[in-house]
Amino acid sequence: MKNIDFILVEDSEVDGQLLKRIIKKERLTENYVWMKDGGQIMDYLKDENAAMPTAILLDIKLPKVNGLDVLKFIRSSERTRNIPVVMYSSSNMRDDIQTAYQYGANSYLTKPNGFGEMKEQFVDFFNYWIKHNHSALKFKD
Amino acid sequence: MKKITSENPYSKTYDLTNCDQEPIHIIQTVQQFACIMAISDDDEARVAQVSTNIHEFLPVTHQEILGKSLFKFIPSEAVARVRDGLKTGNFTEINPVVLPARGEQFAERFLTLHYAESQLCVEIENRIGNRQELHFLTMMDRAIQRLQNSTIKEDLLQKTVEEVKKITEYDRVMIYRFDENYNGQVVAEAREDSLEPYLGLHYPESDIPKQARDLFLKNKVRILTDVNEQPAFIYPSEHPEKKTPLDVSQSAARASSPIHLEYLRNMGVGATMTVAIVEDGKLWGLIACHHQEKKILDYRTRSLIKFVGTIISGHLSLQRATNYRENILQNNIIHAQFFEQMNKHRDIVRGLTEGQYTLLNYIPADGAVIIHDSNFVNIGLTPTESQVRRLADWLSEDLSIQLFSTNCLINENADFADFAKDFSGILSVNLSGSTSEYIIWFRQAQEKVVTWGGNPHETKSFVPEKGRLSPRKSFEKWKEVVSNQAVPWSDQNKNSALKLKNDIKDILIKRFSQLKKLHDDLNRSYVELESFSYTVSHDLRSPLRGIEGFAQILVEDYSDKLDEFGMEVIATIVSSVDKMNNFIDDILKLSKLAKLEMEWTKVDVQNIVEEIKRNYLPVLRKDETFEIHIKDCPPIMGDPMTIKQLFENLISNAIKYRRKIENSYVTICGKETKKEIIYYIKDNGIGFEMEYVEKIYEVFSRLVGEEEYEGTGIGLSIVKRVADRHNAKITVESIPGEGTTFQIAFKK
Repeated sequence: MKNIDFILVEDSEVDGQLLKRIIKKERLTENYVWMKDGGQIMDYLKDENAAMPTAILLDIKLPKVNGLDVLKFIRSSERTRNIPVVMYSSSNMRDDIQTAYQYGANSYLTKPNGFGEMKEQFVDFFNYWIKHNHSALKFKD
Repeated sequence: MKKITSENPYSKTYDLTNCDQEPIHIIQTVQQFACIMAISDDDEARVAQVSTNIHEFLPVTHQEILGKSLFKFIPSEAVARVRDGLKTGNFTEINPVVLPARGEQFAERFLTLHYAESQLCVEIENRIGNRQELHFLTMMDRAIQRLQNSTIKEDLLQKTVEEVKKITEYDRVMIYRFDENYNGQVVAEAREDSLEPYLGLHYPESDIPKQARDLFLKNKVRILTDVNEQPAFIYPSEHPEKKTPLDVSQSAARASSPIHLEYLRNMGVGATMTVAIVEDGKLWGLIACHHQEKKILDYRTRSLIKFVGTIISGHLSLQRATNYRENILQNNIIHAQFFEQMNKHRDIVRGLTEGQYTLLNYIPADGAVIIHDSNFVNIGLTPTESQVRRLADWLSEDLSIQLFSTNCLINENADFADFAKDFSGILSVNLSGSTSEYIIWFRQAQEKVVTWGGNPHETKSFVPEKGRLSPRKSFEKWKEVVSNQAVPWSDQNKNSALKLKNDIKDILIKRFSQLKKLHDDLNRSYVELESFSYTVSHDLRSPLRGIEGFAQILVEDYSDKLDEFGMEVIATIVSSVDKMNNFIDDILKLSKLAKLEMEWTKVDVQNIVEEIKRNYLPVLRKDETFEIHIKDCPPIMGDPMTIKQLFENLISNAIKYRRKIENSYVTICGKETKKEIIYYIKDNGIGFEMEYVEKIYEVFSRLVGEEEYEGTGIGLSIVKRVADRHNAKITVESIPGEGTTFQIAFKK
């Protein structure tokens, strides 16, 4: 089964376009999928023939199913529970961050204000979770 | 055994110290206007004891009549009448039996019968001519009509004394009223102009002692015809068989106690008549008549005057019932209006002490206080706050007591001697039952408020005092008795106080539920506000990132195609986005302060301020010299996160609005007082005009141009909000061009 580097779940067209630009400009990968709502990724992950990603970058505020519920699903399903999930949100509210970790997020990134910082942050994410494949650290039940 | 004389009719000496024990009912003398005899209760009517003045009324001496039948000395028609009376036992039917005149020596006489204990007694006195009786009847008829038309109590009493004076022609007629302890007061008076007024005078209970009051109940009219005469003795002083003195308590002719006679002589009184006013079987008061000369009213006229007393008694009962009803009605009205006033006022305490109805209309008192926590509100005359607090502390030793009342505080606790003399009457209700929250009413000692009815010194004919007894001395004595006593609190007063307590409780409960609802509503709004802030942060930032990001992409990809102006445009777009982001940051901070949950711990201000200083050092080094001085920073109680924001904003404000001079600085310094910890944040910056002081805390308000000084105008709003949430008082002093000092007082 073919593997993919990561799935970006982001409903904001602007943020998605900016990330696409960063990925392209920094020549990080072409092997990724951008999904724009929570329902889409749920359907994808439920499909037994679908290629599993090395990591998922998941926004919280999403149409249809919100990011935290998506995360809950990922951790509850045998096939997906070991995929590293990094939350990616504008919110820096304690409640959101705590809930995310409680549901089993591997990391929590607050979307920065500037494009420059955004670029730095994304490159770091990519290097850590995909390039060096920290998913090798498997989750226990 | 002591010899019994007219000066001393007893075997024992009675004076002021024991006059309450004076056995006045067995005084063994009678006044000269009548004679008395004890006769056997049978057909023979044998005389066992007789007064020595019998010869003035019957043609026989006291020695001669003893042991003989009375019937031998009175006409046969009279004998028949007396026998009738004895048969039926109903003396009111036959009294008085008229003994016709006998020549020059004996005028027409009245014979009356009564039982004293089981002893049959006969009294004989002269009739004082037809004219008096008729005159009386006419006058009485008119007087009673007038009395019946009077509706106000004071009016009734005043009319009574005026009418009685007119009818009887005594020099002075007074109504004397007893309080619940039988202290008396002259409440109405009619007198000859030349006499000193007694109206308003108070007398101690001992002036008319219990045994005298008891006699008034039995014998409602009492006459003393001549205070200076030698009374007649009863002979022998003991009943030959029973070996007891004759009980003269029911006798109209009973002589007076020598103590009482001295009292009357000292007042310049020659004769008196006293009529009991009885209400519900209790002695309510007396109609007291004084005459300067001697004066006799005969049996028939006395009966008529007794009738006046009965009418007054009836009238009083009626008036009392009416007054009671009216009082209750009136009280209910006041209560309802008071309640409404209290309910309307946002501040209950002000509702109780201000406006048309106050605690003092509600319960008549000289003053009242409301005391709870640090609050002390008083109206009228009250002790000082510290005195009242001592009283409240003492009251709160037993919180189970809902209501406390006394009319003599000093008797309850001698520790309050410093004010108990002035404020003897205390009525208090405990408002909460668990803490010391009280409403206390105060009444002053009566001595303080009572004066003579008029100024006696202004009366021309003021009689100088003689001897040890006088009304004025009585008044002094009364003042002593009541010097520590206030007018007692009535049951109605106490009920009103308890009712008020319950009202306040009801209002508080109602307000509490209103507040709780408000609190819940606010809570809901805060939650909504939070989610709103979240939306703002999420939805506003995303397009901003787009603007900034694509502007950057434009620079990266198209900089070779853009001229200098084009590049400037892009730089402006980026800096505008920056500014927008700062706005959003600050608004988020401000809205987070609205969150209800605040941690409440000891906050190490020293640490916080030093951390802020460290954060600013790199920024400051770039620039000219600016110093952050940190002096004493005592810890305070509060929420560490928001306290940090407070100092951060104040310090950054000082930095932002510094003057570009050498030695510009901000000093942070805390000072501890008894109740507060006060922080001073003092700078020598650009300052502002004090007339704008209210503006500085407004959101988005700025006092200087945006071009000169960066900022969102939210910083001080955050400071204010943090201070408010900590119940801290924030003040500011500023002089343009010299500097600004913020002062924040945190409660300990």
